[in-house]
Amino acid sequence: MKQFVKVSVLIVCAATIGSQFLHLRPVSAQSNQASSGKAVILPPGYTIPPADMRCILPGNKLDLQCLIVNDPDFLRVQAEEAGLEAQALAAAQSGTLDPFHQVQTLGKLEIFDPNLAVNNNLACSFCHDPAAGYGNGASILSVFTGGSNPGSVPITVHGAYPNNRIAKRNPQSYVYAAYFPPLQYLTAQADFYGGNFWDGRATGYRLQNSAAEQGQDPPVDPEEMANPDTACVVWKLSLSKYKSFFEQVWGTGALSSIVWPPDVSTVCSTPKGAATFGSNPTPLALTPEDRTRANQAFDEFGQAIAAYEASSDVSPFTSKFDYFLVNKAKLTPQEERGYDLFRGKANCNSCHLDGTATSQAQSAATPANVRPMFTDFTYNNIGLPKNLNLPWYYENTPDQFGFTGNPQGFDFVDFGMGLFLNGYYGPPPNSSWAALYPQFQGKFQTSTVRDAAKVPYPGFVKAFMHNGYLTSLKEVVHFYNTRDVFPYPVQSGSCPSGTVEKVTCWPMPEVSANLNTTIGNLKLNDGEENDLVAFLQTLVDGFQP
Amino acid sequence: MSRSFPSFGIMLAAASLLFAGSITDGPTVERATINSAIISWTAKNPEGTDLHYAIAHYGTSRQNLAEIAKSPTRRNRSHTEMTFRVLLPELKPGTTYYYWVESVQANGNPDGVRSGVTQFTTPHRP
Repeated sequence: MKQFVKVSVLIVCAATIGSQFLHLRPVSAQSNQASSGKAVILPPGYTIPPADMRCILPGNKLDLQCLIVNDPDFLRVQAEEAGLEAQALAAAQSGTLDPFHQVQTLGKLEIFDPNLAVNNNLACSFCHDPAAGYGNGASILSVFTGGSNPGSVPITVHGAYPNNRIAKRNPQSYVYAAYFPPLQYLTAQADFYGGNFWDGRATGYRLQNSAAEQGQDPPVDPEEMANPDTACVVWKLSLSKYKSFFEQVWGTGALSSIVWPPDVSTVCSTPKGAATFGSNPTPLALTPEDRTRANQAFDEFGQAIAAYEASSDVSPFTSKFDYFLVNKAKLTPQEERGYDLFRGKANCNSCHLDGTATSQAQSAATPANVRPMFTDFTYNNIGLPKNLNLPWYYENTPDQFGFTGNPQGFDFVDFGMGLFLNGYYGPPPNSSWAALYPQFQGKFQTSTVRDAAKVPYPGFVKAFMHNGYLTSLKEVVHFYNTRDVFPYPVQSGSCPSGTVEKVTCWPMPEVSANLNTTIGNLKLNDGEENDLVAFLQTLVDGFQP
Repeated sequence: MSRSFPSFGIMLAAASLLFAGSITDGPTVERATINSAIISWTAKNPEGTDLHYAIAHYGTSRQNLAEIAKSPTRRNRSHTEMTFRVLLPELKPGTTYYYWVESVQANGNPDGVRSGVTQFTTPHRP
């Protein structure tokens, strides 16, 4: 039986077995809501953990509060981050670190500290699980929410769905993020390069460090860590177990010189977006001098995060492919075929630069770049369908603080870089960029494919791309190969009878503008797709030569 | 005797003969549905910017190819040839379209490669 037919049978079986829990029921009415579609398709081989069954709600929804205390991946990630935080604290307190490792360890302490969230309950590392390649670490979320993770703030409005604030996108891995240059529009190339975040909005223009700027955003994102003021993050740092270490790195008084107002605890325990704050981005009343000092400490916070992301913990260049480049590892025949496809027929390295200077006929023993980033740092619209599973679409009513995350509901369209250039987050820092919006709507960052295949355990379901629509590397490669072979003018969940979504049916792009045609009909057979997946496995760090 | 200038169609045909040899394969209709089509062709790697655009000039009359479809595509610096693909959206079913194709760099500079005029017909509605 051909593999696609096998997959189809598995999907049908899984859907049948789970149907009593997963069959769609109409969503409770909101004037701009649409049905989320048909039953969630369980990836082949995936079984919902028994502990999660009580957390599945009618209509393919999740009780996020239930998952937080029951899901085995949630519990695993929380245990891992506690261990890594303790490890970092011990290193910091050892007094033996040289300056190079001091700043990296400080970044590690910050990343693994759940107390930096408004409710002291969410570390950066929860959404960026090291074991999952620093991306989403919960299979159940990959399957049901496109990988999007609950933030710090529960939603307690009776009957609300979701019952926790939750971001609109799959958390992006930050492996090698420190190697992404500040965002720049290159006139000669007529294209944007660099920047971080799926949409490039972490430009790095101030600190000339896009990874630092990216690290500064989630702590004050209302859907994520939800601090109402950047100074609140600094206040929390000043209460942390590593406050002295922070000052060791950045200077005496970096935190301790700031005089906090009497209401700091009240303000900083109220989530961003609360109606009480109005449109004030700095509700903490600091003197101008203290505000300057707090801003400086917040920048230092971001820079330490970037230092950790550049460290050998996160970005070590120790994949099998790295050792292959220096002749200390040999690719298997399948991996070799995959590599040849990557830079040949599949044309992956037109965007995911592999550092080789010539075509596949040339040996890789003399690469042009011994640290290939497997990205060209540009942005493209690959035509992903809208992922109607995102709970984001339901966040269109006020929570208990009066905050509405997504007033547009299902009408929200993720234009990616277009959102950034068109002012969704405020005017872009370079005012000349706004005029470039038409050429960049629908485009998302070309992520590095390093560690894309990294998973915490066999069978883990990983969500790929900005909306987590694709849930395996096989699906990713198959999408790139056949997007234009099996296109249907339908939304996800509505593929015609006789087709199988993600196998012989690709729903229409969420954004059709600027649709990149480098991909879509690569003419690869099933075996060649598998060869490519095998090659991608060689890009996972931690290989022992 | 009054002068007469060559018709636009003849000029275009002549130009297409001049340039057609730079395309090594195609253009061909990769796929045509009742309301869209993808046209592809292969040419020598054009050099220039990494981002290129595959462009089709098309219309329902050979004498009037005023519609333009433009699709971004990435150039692979290490390949000797490049396949261009352009999506033509919002077509009408059961309609014959005439077209010619070219490619340009991201800055708008033409690659200097263009095809002759050819045609395809979209299927009728089932």
